[in-house]
Order: sequence, then C-alpha cells, then structure tokens
Amino acid sequence: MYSTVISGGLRGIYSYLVQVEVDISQGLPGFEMVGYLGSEVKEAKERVKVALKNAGFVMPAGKVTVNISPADIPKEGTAYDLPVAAAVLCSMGVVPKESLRGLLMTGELGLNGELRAVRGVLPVVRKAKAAGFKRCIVPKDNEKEGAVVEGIAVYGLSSLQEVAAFLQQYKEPSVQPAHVDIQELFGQKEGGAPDFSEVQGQEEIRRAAEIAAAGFHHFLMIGPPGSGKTMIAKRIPSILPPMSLEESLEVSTIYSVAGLLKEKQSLICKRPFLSPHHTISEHALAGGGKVPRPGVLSLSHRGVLFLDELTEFKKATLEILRQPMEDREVQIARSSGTFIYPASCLIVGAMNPCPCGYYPDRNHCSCSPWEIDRYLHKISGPILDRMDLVAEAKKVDITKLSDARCGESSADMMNRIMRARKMQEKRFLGTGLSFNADMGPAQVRKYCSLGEQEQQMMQQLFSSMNLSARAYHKIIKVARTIADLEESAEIKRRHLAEAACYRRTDSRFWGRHR
Amino acid sequence: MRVEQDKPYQYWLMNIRGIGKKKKIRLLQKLGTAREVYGAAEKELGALLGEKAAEKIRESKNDWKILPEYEKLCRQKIEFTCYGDPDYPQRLSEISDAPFSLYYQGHLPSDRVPAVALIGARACSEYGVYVAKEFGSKLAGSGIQIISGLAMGIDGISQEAALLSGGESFGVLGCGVDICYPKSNRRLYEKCKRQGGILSEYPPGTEPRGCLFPPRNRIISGLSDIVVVVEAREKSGTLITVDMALDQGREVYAVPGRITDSLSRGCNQLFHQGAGVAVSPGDIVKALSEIRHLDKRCPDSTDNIEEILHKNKTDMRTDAGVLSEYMLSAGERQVYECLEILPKGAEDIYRQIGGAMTIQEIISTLVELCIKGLVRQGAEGYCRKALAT
Repeated sequence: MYSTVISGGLRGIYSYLVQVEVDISQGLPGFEMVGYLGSEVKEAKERVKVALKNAGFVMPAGKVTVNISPADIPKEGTAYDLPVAAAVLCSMGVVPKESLRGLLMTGELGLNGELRAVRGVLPVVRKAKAAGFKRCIVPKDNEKEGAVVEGIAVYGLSSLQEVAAFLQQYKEPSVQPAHVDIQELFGQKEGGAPDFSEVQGQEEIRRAAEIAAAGFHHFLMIGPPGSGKTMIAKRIPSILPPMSLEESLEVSTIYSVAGLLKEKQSLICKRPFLSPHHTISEHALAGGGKVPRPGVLSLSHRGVLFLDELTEFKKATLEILRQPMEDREVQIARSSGTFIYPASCLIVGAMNPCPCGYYPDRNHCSCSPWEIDRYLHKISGPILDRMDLVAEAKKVDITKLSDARCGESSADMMNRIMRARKMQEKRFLGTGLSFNADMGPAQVRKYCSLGEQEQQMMQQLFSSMNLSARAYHKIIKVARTIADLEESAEIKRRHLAEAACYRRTDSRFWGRHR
Repeated sequence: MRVEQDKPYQYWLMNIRGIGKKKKIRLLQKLGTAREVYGAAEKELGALLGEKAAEKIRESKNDWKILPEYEKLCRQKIEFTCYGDPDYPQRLSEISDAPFSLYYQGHLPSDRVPAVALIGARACSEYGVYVAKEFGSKLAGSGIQIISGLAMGIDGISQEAALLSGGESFGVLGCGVDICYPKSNRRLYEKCKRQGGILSEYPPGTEPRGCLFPPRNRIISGLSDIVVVVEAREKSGTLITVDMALDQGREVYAVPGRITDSLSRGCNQLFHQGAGVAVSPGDIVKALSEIRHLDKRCPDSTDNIEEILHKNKTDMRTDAGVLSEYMLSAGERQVYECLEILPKGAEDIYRQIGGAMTIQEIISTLVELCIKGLVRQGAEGYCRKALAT
C-alpha cells in the first residue's frame, strides 16, 4: 500500500517541502531508498527498521520502497528518519491515512525508537506555516524552537510509540501543542554583560563605539597593548539596541541550521557576540563544507564579530571579509548551487600600530619605518576602506586609572543609542533596512540630503583627504548616525566633521609617506 | 680640453682595486695626470709603489676598457670629481680622510655658499618632523645649502622641506648614485638631482650595504660648515656623524627636545659635551655668519648674512594678530589655545578643558581647524601649524 508524509529539507537557511513516499508491495522482502540521498539519509533504512521493531511494530515481509521527492535535489541530514517510519506505519495500516493530512514531521530515530533532536527545525516549521500546514511533529528537544512560529500547532514527541499513538487518535490528541511566551523571552534581562562604567578614560574610542553600535558601522581600533581595546569591544554588546522579533527569527534560523541552538532553547534574543581566535580558517569564517554550513560571519549576523589582533589573521582570511562587509551576506558557490547566508554583522577590529605596539610613541617604540609599514600593510587598502570608523586608543595614564570616578555607564549610552535607533526605525519603515550602515547610494541620496554649507564642507574634505567614492558615502552615513544620536533631523557641519575625523585616523598611520 | 681628455683615465684610476687613496694621490703627484699614470711603464710604477701595487695596476689595465666604461658613465649622466681636482669641494678636501673619488648627479655644493648638515633619527617623532621641516625650509629659503643623507626620518624630511622652499639640497648616499635608497624616497631623490645633487664616493652600481653607511657620514659633515642634530637616540648613527664632524673641526648644534623623550637623549648628551643650542634657524644663521667672518675663504658671501638674519626673525611663534583673521568661534579658539607645537590627541584636550566641551565637540572642532589650515594632524595627534606672517 502506498502512503506519503510531508517533511522539510534544508538548503542554506531556507527550507523546502519534501514528500516522503513509501510503498509496501508483494515481492522479495527488501528495503530500498531512492531520491538523490546522502549517505546519512540512506542509513535511515537501518535505523527505521530497528526502531520499528523495538517500538513493537512488526514489518511485513514485502518489498518496501521509499522515495524522497523532489528526487533531483541532494538531501542530507537525519531528519527524514521519522517521516519514513511514519509513512511505513501508514502503509502497514497502523495509522490512518487521514491523520497525515495537513501535518509535517521531522526528527531522527534512535534504535530504541527514541526521537532525537535535528537541526533546522525553525526554518522547517516556518516553511510549514507558510505552506498552510496546521500541525507539526518535532522531537521533544526541538519543540521550543518550533513553537516560536505562531499559527501552527507544534507537538514535541519523544518516541516512535508516542508518534504512532498521536496519529491513531489524531482527531483529539492527548498531547498539548508546545507553547512559548515570546514576550517573556524578550523581557528576560540578560545579566552579567560587562558594563562601560568600568572603562576609565578613552573617551575617543568610547564615543566611536557608541556611534558604531547606534548605526552598525564597522569599527577599527588601533592602539598600544593594554590600552583597553579589547575591554571596550567586550562591552559593545551592553550598548547594542535590542533585537526585534524579525531579527531574532533571522538569527535563530541561522543557528538552527548550524545546529547551534541549545537544547530546549527556542529563540536567540540577544545579539550574538563572536570573537574567533586569529588562527581561524577561511572556511570557518565565511562558511564552508560540501554542503556549506554558515561560518562565523553569518553566526554573528545582527550582532558583533570582534576580530582581536586583526594583523595576526591570515591575509587570505581577512580578504574574505571584503564582499560580506559591503553586501552584508556571504555567497558560497558549489557545484550543487549557490548558497546565500546573511552576514549583516558589525565588524569590530582591534590591532596594534606596529610590531612592538607603541608607535607613534617614540619613547617606547623603536620599530623602523619599514617594520611599521610592513606591519600595517597586513591590512589591505580595501579592508581599511570598508571600516567606517577608525579610532585610536591612547596609552592610559596611571593617574586616570586610580581616579575614583567611573566612566559613563552602558545604560546612559544606551539611552542615546535607543533614540538614534528610533529615528532609524522611523526612517527605514517598510524599506527592509534597519541601520544607517545598510544604506546604499540611492538611500544616502534620499535620506541624507546636505545643506549648502555641508556640501561645501564635503568638497573641502574630499579634496584634502583624497577620499574614494565609497569613503564619501561612508562619511555621510556615519554623520547621519551622529545626527541621529542628537535626534537632529538634518546633518550639520559638526556631524560631518566628527565623521570625517574617524576616517582621518587611518591616513595618519597608513598614509605616512603620501 | 686637457682635463676633458684626462677624464676617462681618472675614472679608470678611481676604479683600480687594491690600491688605496694615498697611493693614488702619490701617483698623481709624481706623474701629473691619470693619463700619464696609465701610460707609465711598470718599472716606474714598481719603483714608486712597490711590485704588488704595480701588478694590480697592470691587471686593471687589462680588465678595464677605458672608453666604453667612460661612455657608459656619461650615458647615465653621472659625473665625478677626483681629489685634487679644482672642482673638488674645498670643505671636503680639508678633512683628513677625504674620499679620493666623488661621483655625483646634479651638481656639487658650491664652496662660496654656506652649507649646513641637518641630520637626525630615522624613526623620528612628530616634533622632529616639525623641527626638521622648519629648519630645512627656513635655512634653505635663505640660500643655505642643506646637506644630508637622503634617509627616512629627519634627513629626508629636512631635505624635502629645503627643496620645497626653493633652496638647494644635497644627498650623500651609501651606495652608487644611480641607486635610490631607500626606495620610498624616490620622489625626493629625483627632485634632489634637479635642485642640488646626489653624491657618493662609491662607483655607480654599488648596492647599499650596512658597512658603507658610517663612512658616508664623514662626507655629510665634511661638506658642511655646521652640523645640526634634530633628534637622536643614544648610541645612534647620528652620533657617529657628530663624532666625525668634531674630528673634522665642524661646529655641532643640536635642537633641544623634552628631557623625557628617548629621542632627546642624544641631543642632551651633545649639550653636555658642549654642542651649540639651536632654538631657531636664526641661531644657525648667526653662527654661520661668525664662522664666515673668521674665514677669509670667500669674503663676498658674508655680505648678505645680515639680510639672511633679518629673514629668519619670523620664527616659530604664532602671531595673535594673524590669528584674528581666521574668525574663530569661541569653541575653536578654546581648542586652539590648548594646542601646542607638540602634538596632542583629542583626549588630552578633553582632559585639559575639563568637561567644558564634549569629546565629540572637540573632535569636530579639530577637523574644522584642520580645514581652516590652523592645525595639522600628524601620526601622534594634532598640533598647531606655523602661521604665515
């Protein structure tokens, strides 16, 4: 008898519907699986057979054929175990055919019939909802993840027996759909993040960090060792504006696909902050594998990617940042197609200005001009050009450290940032953009019109600083954020001047011979 | 005419390996010209210098193609002068170990015009850059020849400033004159050829080597009347040059810096040893006029010293009257007043003002001041620009 169950496949961060067809017919006993399957999918055969036996169902002695359709897309993962088993049960007549209507299921089976967690539940359930399904069966460990999607009943079950029981009494199931209170999730105060009040002095990079957080502008800190670059970077999460539900779903989807959502975790409500070690490979950064998984760049989507000791990264690894820094997504091409992972992250870099770290303080630094050049040129021009804010950390003097007064707290900075956030939300309503840094040239023209005085200033800056066209737009975008922090509708001269200052820093180090 | 014909032979003589400067001078003294040396019998040479030296000369005659080599040199537009030639720089000829040969592109420093060597650290501070520029442009602007080593840091910066002010500058290299070292100074190297000269005692094609640089320092000091040290660390190459200058009887001046900076140590050490204090380019001009008054070598060059002195009266201090023309706002004035010639960061100013302005106000004010041309931004921070009076 023929039966069919709907499940979801993954391609990048997107899910597509998959039809699992099973036919049991007379013939030589056997179990055949087809449909462009990866080896782990083919192995489902053994898991399903044993799980069915251990769950108390006796397989009929006939020819079992399984087809996973569409049969021309390569499939991977263990999420097809449950759909195959359920379809077999239906073909055996254990569960009624009607019970499978309007239902999507996904899950891995253990040999004892246990239902185990799989990755990508969130995008699969979202796809099911979009396709008009009413119910979903997911492993118990994934139920919180699936339950985030509203308008579809998500049942978290823990074994094949439970699934069979659920399907048999499908009209009035005894299990309640899983429920997650999103309001409560977002309301949770995440404690423990270090606070900016612990940073004394360093007003200049503090200010730059504030602008970076408010407008999501890439940010590079240069300074001697021990000047507080890492300290400031670690505190950036405490001043990031909270994520919206939409953003949270995007981030959670990436984590779900990567299999990084923790057990029983439903949504990622806090902006990610990733700080990979500088030995990271290109594939780990951008994403990779035969079927590419998201890399660190995508895992810090809508959050912060902190690259400490930027000059120590392999040059090839750094150059990978070029395209994602502009387009805010990573495209990975494979023979099976191109995978696109979002990578709209705030890149924060920290580095020393020379091998010993103390340039331009010539009392400490005796590096030769060549050594400094060679060191700084580990960062290529294009990467530098993409940094909207470059700020210099100065050596902290000891009298300031012993000063009892604290620096401004994260909460105070957050107040200003939230005001800037509101301005941006209002500005980009319905455009799909969320931060000033996301603006393209067309939007810059539309939202960042300059007065006569300001245009004149831009011309002066442009000629005196030898700017690229990209830098020109970047200054205006940063000036927009600075104006937003003051809740000023227009960009004034002083905003442009400040924005320009954060671009001049690089020419002080890299342009010494120009 | 005779001299011209002798040139290819001079070039040959300069390139004989294994014979020192003294022997070459003796040859010229005894035999007259290089051509005659070439034509001299081996016996005669042997009697003069010994068998070994005569052997070397014979070998080099076999290896060296007189005319082709000389033509090659001419094609490269490289000229040379030999110790004892009338165009050999007089100041240089006075030193004890004057080089036998001196190759140059451009022209040689004039004996009639005062010459000052501006030397200092390669890895210099922002203050050093300022001082080098100030001394280089003011001294060259008043007609003084600037001699230096075309190196990175103080050397190159002061030469660059000297050329920019329309003066003449001469770079002495530790490699062949056809090789630009360091490569990053290519623009300066080319400009120096047009507006002064590139000099070296080493034959064209000599690659730069560490051991060649200390000897070239004696040429830098030898070509100048006064040696001015801008920034130097203890035990630096600059101090080697100073030692050579003292041996040669040159006056040494140093520019004071902060006592806390390691780049001031070399200068302060010099002060201990009795070096002159150069607070402004005017000090150097005054010292030059004293030397020149004593020196009867070229009496006519002293005429314009008074005029030069007058030109240098406008020194580094900024003028309040000029400042008023810039129409500064209250905030700009406040920030400007905090700035000095030594560079400061935005944060230093923030601390100095003490909360009267926010950091972002200070940053944007600094950029405005830069646009107005009052403030300069260097690697270490912001500093006042010298105002044009």
